[in-house]
Amino acid sequence: MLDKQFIKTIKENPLLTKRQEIDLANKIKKGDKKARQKLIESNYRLVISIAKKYHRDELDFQDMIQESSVGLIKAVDRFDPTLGYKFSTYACWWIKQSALQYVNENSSNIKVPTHSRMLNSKIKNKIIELEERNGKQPSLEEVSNEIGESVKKIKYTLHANKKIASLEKSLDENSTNATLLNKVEDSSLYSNPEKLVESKELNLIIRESLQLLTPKEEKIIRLRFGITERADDSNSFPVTDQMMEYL
Amino acid sequence: MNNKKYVTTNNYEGMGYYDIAKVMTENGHKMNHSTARNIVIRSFSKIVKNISHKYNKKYTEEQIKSIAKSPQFQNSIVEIMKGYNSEEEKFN
Repeated sequence: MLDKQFIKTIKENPLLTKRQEIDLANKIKKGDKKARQKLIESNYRLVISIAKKYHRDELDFQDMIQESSVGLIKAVDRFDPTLGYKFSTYACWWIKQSALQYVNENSSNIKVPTHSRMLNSKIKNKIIELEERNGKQPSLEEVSNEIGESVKKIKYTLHANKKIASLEKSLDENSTNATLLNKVEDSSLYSNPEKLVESKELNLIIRESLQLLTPKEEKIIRLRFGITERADDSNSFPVTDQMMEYL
Repeated sequence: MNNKKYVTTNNYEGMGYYDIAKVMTENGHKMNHSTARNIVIRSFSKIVKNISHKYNKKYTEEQIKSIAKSPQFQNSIVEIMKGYNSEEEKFN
């Protein structure tokens, strides 16, 4: 919700005509602070309209407006009326930039570069478009051909922009115990004693089986898989300097 | 023309069969690359046979060879040989 002072400012400052904008811009160039204030306040509507478009549930709308206003101020300071554009045409890019930067920095705990986030949304939109067109989920190669980026880059971008969830986040507002952490299965062997015993037994059998290998066989397997010699093994196959070099 | 291709997944920093054969030959065990490969498969087959025997499983020679050749099986055995397999060992 917007505060009353902000609404009052908007009401007191109706939209400007192109002529008024040019006059104010010329005054600003001469250092008129009141004109600057007037041009800023008269364009708050534009800020709200753009901020609404980029607002996400997890973000504070007031903060979003504040950050987008920074873009408006930049636009006011850099607007050149001699180019012939309307102020709103110029300002909307600066406001969008500030709004997107705020979204980028605050919508996730991990900051992802803006270009990566933009590419991510481009990829996702393309996936939806291809799904609708072909009636099936597109492969990464298809998306890559359409967007003109490599499969590796697409994979990396999708991975980097994955949403993260806190393990401590409550799944049920009424219960503090219903966290994601409590729902994650403990798959370690220690949570299942039977599995632990089975695993131990299998381990012993495998170790016993390894004893069946002749030194030559053991040596070749060691060479093949880069397993270094046991220092305490006197029966082990002799290791030459060349072998050590290879290993 | 021989179209046979050997596909082995080996994520370890080990040696190729040609290099193994060379090292073994230099150490008095004359062999070529295919012998080295056959010895690797034979060794893993020995392990499969012993494990299946312990668990009273009766596999055919073909099945044993197929298990011995599988990268998953080979990787597991190698991990045990390296002493990293057991979760217990990691903690202790």
